Amino acid sequence: MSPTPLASLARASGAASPHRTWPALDEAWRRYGIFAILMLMIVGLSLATPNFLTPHNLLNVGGQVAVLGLIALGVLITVVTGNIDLTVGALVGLAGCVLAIVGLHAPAVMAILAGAGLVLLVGGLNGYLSTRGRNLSIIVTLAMMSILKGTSLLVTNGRPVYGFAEELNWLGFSTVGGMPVSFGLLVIVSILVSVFLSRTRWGREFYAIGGNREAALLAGIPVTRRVMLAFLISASLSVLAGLVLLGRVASAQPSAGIGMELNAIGAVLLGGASLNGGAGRVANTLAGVMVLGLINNGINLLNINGFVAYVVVGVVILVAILSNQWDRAAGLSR
Amino acid sequence: MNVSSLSRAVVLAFIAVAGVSCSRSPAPDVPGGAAPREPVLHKDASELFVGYANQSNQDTLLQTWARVTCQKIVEAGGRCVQTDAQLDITKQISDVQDLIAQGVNVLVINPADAEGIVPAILGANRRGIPVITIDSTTRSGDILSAVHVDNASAGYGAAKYCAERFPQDERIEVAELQGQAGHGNTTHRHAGWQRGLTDHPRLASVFEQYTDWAADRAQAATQDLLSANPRVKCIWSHSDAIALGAVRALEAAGRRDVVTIGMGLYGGGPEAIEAGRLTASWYMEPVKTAEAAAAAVLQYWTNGTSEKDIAIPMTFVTRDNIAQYLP
Repeated sequence: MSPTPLASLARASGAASPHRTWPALDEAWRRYGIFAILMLMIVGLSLATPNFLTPHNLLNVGGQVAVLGLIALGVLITVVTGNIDLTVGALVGLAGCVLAIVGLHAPAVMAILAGAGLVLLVGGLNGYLSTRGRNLSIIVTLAMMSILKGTSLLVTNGRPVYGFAEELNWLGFSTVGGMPVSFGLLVIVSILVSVFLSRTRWGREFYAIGGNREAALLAGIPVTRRVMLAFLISASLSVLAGLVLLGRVASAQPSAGIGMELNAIGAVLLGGASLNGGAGRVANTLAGVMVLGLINNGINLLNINGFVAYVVVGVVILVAILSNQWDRAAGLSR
Repeated sequence: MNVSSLSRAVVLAFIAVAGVSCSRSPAPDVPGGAAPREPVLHKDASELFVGYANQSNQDTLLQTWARVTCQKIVEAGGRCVQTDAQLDITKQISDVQDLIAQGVNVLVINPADAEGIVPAILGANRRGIPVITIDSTTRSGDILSAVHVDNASAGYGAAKYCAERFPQDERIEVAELQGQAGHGNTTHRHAGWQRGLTDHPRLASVFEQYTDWAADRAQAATQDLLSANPRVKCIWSHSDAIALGAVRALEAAGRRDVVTIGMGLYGGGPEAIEAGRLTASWYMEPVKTAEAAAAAVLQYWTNGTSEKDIAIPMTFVTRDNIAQYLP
């Protein structure tokens, strides 16, 4: 995705923008604002209810956000390259169904292998159609999302699958020293993704492609292969999230993951990533995930009408998207 | 920080924190801690703190179960808080964890999925918190009491009624409008219907479709049904809302000869039966169900035990006996 003409114009002409008054502070806000919001939420909820700041509750929240965190990292990687992966939620559901069905008749290892096959198939198709097919990734993955949802219902006949190999429950259900394994997994994966994006040549090429695809091509970066890799990583994280969810609910739910992509995109944008590509950080994305997780946790702990959650989460995501739009218009996206 | 950044900070912070906190309902204060607890007999009812994990607040029946259960608990001197899983089993597991974190000492769960809720029940079991399920029952986990209606029997009864309404027909084309794929009630109502089809071989299923409990989807599905299978004679719908969607499509097509059976007897169902638009529905006795759940909680609280299986009988309601069920 190349910069919008409006953004280029704004940058070239030095159009009047409020951002220009305090560029350093503005950049600091863009980088660290989400952490300020997160801290504000933590302080606010700690004051509002004594049940919030307890190890038990915080570990609960850690386990609750693991699935969203994993798929948000996948979305982040594709967004960094200037694309977007809308299949993450549907793939979480399909992965759970495939793993569970294979796990009914075969050892867990075979189920994991089936999950790997799903990564290659879905991630490969998304990447191929979004690059070589020269289609916009948002269209490709929107269509693929529907295909994956339908496939989940078809393979399960619309019914939950349970009774599969017990080992498949471990990631989503077990705890080590009181800490959910799923949260530990999220931490480890986050570190790996962060190192990949910031410390490896391929990772930096992701940012270069998202920043300016044409310049990246001229610089000799194999754009098609890198974008395909981004979609494969995203699919891997979704399948991993599907495995976590499978253990969390001890069953494969054909409707699982539906709508989760919206929260994942919201978390990525809350973290300051740009839909233009070329910007976005793992730590910020995780902070965005935590903010969304704490909204639901806070609503429960404070015994607020559950309908409020729809509104609050939606408005937070909307504001994050609008904020992103303002940045794009001001040409300060990256 | 400039004006733009400041305004963004204020807006996001307001939404994320104040937006949540300021909309706090006048709910009872919650006790601290969630330490494991053991059942103690003859406790003071004022110490009773019940968490009701509802699968959805977007359904009159489910709302009634939650409201009446909590109302009875509060009338007895206890406290009760509710959560709304929005039909998402993953969220419901989180809700149960949050209720435990609040320090509830009894859980009443209306599961979004009977299998998927098992990990949450096992989590409560580990902390010694008794669990009462309402509506769907679970495959495993230690359940103090299961309060339920027999969804499978409703499906079976609907099939039987279809067969009895057309005693002379050698082949009776029937259709099923299901709830939501993967939903426990959908699964059980469908299973009972299938068993009914097997036991009544004159019934020929020509159509079955998920409607996600939505009347408009049921209406569209019925329009398609009538196009493909105009000889359909009986439609079993997994809820009254679905049945009313089907009825609208039938009326638009000028078909008043098709038998329509709903489930729940609420949300316009009773009035439709009285008017002769809907043929029949199952009355699920929502208040009695909720009262039974609350009674199970209170019995446990005072006696340390409760009846394991509490079945609430359903009534098949037609125009002949609708008068006593009208709101």
